[in-house]
Amino acid sequence: MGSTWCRYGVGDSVGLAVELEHRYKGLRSPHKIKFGVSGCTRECAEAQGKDIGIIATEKGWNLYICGNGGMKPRHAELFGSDMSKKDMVRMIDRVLMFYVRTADCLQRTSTWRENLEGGLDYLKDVLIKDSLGLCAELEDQMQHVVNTYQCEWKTAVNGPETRKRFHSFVNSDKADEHIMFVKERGQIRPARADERQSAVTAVEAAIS
Amino acid sequence: MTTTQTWTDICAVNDILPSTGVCALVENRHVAVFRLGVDQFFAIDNVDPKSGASVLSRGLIGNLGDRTVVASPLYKNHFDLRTGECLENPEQSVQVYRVRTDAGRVSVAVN
Repeated sequence: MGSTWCRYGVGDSVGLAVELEHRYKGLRSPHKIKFGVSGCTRECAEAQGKDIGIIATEKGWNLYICGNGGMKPRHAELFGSDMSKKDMVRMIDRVLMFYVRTADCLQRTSTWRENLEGGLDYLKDVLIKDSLGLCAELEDQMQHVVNTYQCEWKTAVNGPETRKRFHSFVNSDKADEHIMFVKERGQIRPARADERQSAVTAVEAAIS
Repeated sequence: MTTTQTWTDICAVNDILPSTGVCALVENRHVAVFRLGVDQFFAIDNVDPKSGASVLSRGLIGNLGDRTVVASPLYKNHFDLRTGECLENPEQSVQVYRVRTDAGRVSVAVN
């Protein structure tokens, strides 16, 4: 809720969350990435259970990384305190790009971090102290991803070649008769096999 | 006695991107036609028996051992493109159809 809505909020967590979403929305990564931004240490966004977690402080932002919920919960670790927004975004760029470049396919940040030789200290050496001299490169790579972002839905809808794929048949304009719906709670949902008899097509459902 | 096959022209070769499939309506049957590489074509039923949905042409094509298969986008069950056999559950196998290309056009025979 942050300072926008909550009396406890000490930072604009919603605004920052929107900014971060737009910055990283086009990133290809080994697995999904979840973010949380809380407006104060009461932590209503549960940022310490996310891959990237941010909590507003009186002096700036605290950054937590490599947390997870689910079957194997892992508390995120503090990676920077009272940072300015600019510094924090730069640090997230480094963390995420280093993860993207070094993690296995389908490996979440929490398991990546657990398997990382040297652990958190190593990560801090590389990404904060720049012990491998990689930081500028990681930042450049992330900036490139941000600069070359395109809305893939828009590209698909506007591209005649991809639009072809939206037809049921390559040789007919007919609709696929398997796609049937039933009404539930005032909306339509796909019919199960045993409901097909009483089901209707999407067009029929729209006019009924 | 020999039976002659009825070939149905469905699309141009270039209407199918390499390593993908399309669905064609042939004598009221949904037929998934796949193009592998530039000039290899396969045709099987498009309806996935497990889900009853007409989706197999939109599955990912790949190899399991030495078999060329498509994975159903819904439950990821695999179908051998040469035999139609469902690898996870042979009882849910699908039919294969003959497919040929001529002068840049693709046609399918379902009889």
